Amino acid sequence: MTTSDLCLPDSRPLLLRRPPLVFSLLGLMVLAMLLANMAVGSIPFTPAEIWQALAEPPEASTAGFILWNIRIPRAIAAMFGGAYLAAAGLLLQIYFKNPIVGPYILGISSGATLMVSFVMLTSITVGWTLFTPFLSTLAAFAGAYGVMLIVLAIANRVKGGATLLIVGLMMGYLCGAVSAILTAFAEKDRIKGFVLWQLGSFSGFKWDEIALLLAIGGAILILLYLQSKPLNAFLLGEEYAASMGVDIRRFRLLILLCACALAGMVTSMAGPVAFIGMAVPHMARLSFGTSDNRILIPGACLMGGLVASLCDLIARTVMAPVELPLSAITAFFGAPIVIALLLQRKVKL
Amino acid sequence: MSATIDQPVIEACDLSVGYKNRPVARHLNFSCHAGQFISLLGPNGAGKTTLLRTLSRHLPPQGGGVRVQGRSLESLSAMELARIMAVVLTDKIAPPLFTVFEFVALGRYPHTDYLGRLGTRDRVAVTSSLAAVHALDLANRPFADLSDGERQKVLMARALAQDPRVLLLDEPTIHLDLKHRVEVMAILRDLCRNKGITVIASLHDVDIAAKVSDRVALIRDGGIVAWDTPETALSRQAVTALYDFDKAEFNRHLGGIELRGAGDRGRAFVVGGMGSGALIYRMLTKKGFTIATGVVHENDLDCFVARSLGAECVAVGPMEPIDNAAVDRAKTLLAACDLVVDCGFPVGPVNEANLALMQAALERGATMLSLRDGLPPGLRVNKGDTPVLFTDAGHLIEALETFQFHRPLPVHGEEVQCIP
Amino acid sequence: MNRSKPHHVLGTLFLLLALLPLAACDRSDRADVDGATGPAFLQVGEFAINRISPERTEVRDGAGRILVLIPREAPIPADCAPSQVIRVPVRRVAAYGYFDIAVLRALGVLEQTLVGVTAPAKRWHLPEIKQGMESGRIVFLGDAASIDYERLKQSRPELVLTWDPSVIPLLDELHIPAVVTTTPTAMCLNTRMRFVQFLAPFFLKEREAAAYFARIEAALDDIRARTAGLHPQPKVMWGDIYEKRVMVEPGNAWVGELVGLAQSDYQFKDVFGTACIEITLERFLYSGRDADIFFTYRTGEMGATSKEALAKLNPLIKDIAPLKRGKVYAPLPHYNQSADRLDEILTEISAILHPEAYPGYRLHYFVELPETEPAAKERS
Repeated sequence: MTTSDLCLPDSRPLLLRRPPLVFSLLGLMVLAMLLANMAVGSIPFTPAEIWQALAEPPEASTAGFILWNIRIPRAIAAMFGGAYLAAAGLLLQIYFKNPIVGPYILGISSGATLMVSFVMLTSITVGWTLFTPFLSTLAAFAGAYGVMLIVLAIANRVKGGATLLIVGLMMGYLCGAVSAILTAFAEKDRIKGFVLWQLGSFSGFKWDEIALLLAIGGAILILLYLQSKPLNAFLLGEEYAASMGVDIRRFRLLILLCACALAGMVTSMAGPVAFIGMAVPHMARLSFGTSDNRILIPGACLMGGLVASLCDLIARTVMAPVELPLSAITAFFGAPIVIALLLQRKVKL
Repeated sequence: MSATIDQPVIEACDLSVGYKNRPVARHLNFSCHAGQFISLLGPNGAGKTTLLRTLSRHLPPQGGGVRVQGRSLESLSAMELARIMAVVLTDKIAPPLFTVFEFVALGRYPHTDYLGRLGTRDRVAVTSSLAAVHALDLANRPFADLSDGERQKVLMARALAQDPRVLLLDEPTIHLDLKHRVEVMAILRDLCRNKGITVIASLHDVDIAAKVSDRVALIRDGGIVAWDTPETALSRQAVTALYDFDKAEFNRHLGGIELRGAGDRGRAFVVGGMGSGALIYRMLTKKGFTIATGVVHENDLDCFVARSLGAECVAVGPMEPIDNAAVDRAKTLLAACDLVVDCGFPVGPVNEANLALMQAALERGATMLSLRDGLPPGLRVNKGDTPVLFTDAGHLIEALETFQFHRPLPVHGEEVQCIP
Repeated sequence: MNRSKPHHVLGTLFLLLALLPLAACDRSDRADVDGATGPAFLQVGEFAINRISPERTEVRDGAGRILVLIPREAPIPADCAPSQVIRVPVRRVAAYGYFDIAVLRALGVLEQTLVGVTAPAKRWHLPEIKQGMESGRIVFLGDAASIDYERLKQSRPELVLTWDPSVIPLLDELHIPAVVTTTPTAMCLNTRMRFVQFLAPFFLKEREAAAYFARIEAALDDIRARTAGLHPQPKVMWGDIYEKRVMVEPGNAWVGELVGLAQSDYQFKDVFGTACIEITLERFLYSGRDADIFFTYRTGEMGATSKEALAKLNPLIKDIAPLKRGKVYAPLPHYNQSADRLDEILTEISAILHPEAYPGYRLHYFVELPETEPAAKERS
């Protein structure tokens, strides 16, 4: 075949192609959102104050304290939390070939909720003063990863994605049932905190948690990006992927592990945040106009960070200083998008 | 044919395929060589797909083993296998937002780097794969928008982009229209001839398989009944047994399957010969007539078709003039028939006797439908016994639709009026 | 807080829709006083009482339903549905909230009328209820979110005081009259004071209600008098942090009003919304940097045993001024059930804000948290 002179696709110059354009646009918006999240809050500061506060240690001024201890951790948490949820959602949508799957479909949030309900609603942990400040985070971590291990163990046995989907749903129901029983017996004062936790929020991230979030999540994201080639092959279904040289068994576990680890980490620190993981991958797919995961993984992360930051900004400023529940804002964002996309049949998997 | 026949590309030794506790086919032994087109034939559920899936390692063998280019299938890494073998499955896949080029490029998986970036060689391979399946013009179309036929070609291009030595295809022509069915088979045959790729495809069209395959495997009753050239393997009996034919028959001379009718509309005697009868036989069979025919020659197309359709056939040796004994036998058959159809065969020295046969029929008062412009020379016609003349087979069919089994045919007059 | 229900978070959701009606908590309440029988028309927040004749009083409850109060022996008026009719004085009452029960207590009818509650015996600190439940006169009806209707029916209440409008259809089915005693807005000082007047006609206890109201007015007058002109004005914050989320009393709640009234600064007076509302952490810490007094929602059992314990529980707030150098007060367990002692509570809060004006005052409803964990854990 003499093909060297054939007109191949992708022959446009790099900068005029769609993904680089969208990437730079998204990047700018993310940066702008990060700045907005630092600059805007229920306490008004002038740009000069903010500028000065950034140059000083946190203890130097009120502005410094609020910026360094509240706004910046929260902005980072929202950005990366959104990114991780979006990446987890993308993975699971590919894994299950189902466009309306989100990162919580495997019961991760239910597992976290279960363990948190133990901590918050019962007196089991009263004596554990050593862990006190991190207790519910640790519990959520344990719950999310406990469910993940069970799901992985089952995934190793069953073949079909649909079976696993149902297993995840059932896990969710089981955990939900236990939480519900605990709630019924709990004292009202304790329920208060639990109900709040269930709504999810990027409020109150500590720097330790941010460090953990960035280190582990970043490592997983890099690992994921390196897996975008088999992920692309996986778009054709497991059988084609296997015939193209993907070690399916290992790869399936890897996808689930990454998705659960990302979603579990965010959930344990911020509570369940709805809809980002489900809606953002679609938004990324449409805006980049591709299913190529080499583009979509970073794309969905940027998009997820952007959407989560925006929702968080709305949640904490619209009625400031009253804080609106984050999941309510993300639902306002996500649900119409998912419905519109499905109705237009633009999104298929 | 760039084949070194020495080492088989794929070799199965005492292979058993199936699922846990449910073997589908056992003790299979065969070998596939470079550049061979191998068709797997057999009824549904016989294990064609299961065998393909075992060869592609989607299913573990339940016994025995497979060797690929001399190495055992299990010992190959996924990547090594992917460089040797590509598959085209029946699963309907429609990954969103892929152009055809990008889709085919996924086939380069075993050859690209860890991020799957395409180099010049990869682009060339993708383009030539698209060219090989005549789908270069589709390159920039969205994959999800393709028709079934176009999609099948693109799926084959994806498999080709893997640069495989073996191509496994599961029912590659299913759901396709005739144009694409023919095109796909032609493409596959060319791949064997030009690139020396071994194609193993499960097919359901025996006739097409017979025409393109180098080898056919007849799979039935948990084993391979035959593994041979189609010319040897696809005998009438073998095909009938393979598919449990009852109302049909495969004819290897015709290269196709003839469907027998119910035979409950009545008996028709067809005076044919020189290929004039084949169409009429099939038509009458389709309409439910039982057929008798004569007198034809053994090497005549009419003879093959009539026999495949289960007609009673009076035949004489090739090139021999029709003798009286044959005519007498034909007359006996004719006597038991409800109508006589004259196919309008050209009359020559060897088949002149058929005119006598028709003469005899007319004299008996039989209803005769004829596909001629006018009466054949030498046929004497009494008043009232005129054959009904039709200019083409279509009108003949219409007449048959309303045919009533009374002698003589009551609708004579009207039928004549129908003739344009 | 009295309205510490699991619904307060949903309440924040309502906020989006319910902002306008919130204005109901200003001082626009009207009362036309009519001699000895009490007001002919009384409006308390969204609640209203309209005395049409001695035989007939119409009441609008928290859900906007109109109920008709008629004497026990009177025939049902032709113009209203049976489910609207409540015969007074009511003799058997089931009540959901602590606040409803406190009002019954303020009216002096608790011991005679209360037959059902939604908290088990061990959660009660009121001796009347403890005894009533022991003797079986008062039954536990199940959790507010899952009432045991069989027991409710069995306890034959003539009236159910509920904050949950969703149970009304079922109660109508069971022919149990009900009145919705709260809305997201029934939390300002005026409403809390006057609520007793809203429930009074159900028991024909207008006189007691008036007396109660007068007592609280007197307490408020006393607070005004004692704190007038005092300096400096302490800065007060009232709320708590749950894990990473902050809930506070908004400025339009009675707490905020009282703090202002007692010559003090309420740090969240610009926060507007339902009681116990989530605000941003940033605002909480900002307000906490110069606050003097912090009232936490937590009782001692919930971990508010010392400043040290609170700081440890939530390192995020360990730097707010009250924890470092100010004062922190936690409610005692019976505080939530003592709304009938509103006058005492108001006075106590005022005494906490201005101890110099209340020499020798002993706390009954709150406890000041020590700096560090006391060696022996023995607090009521």
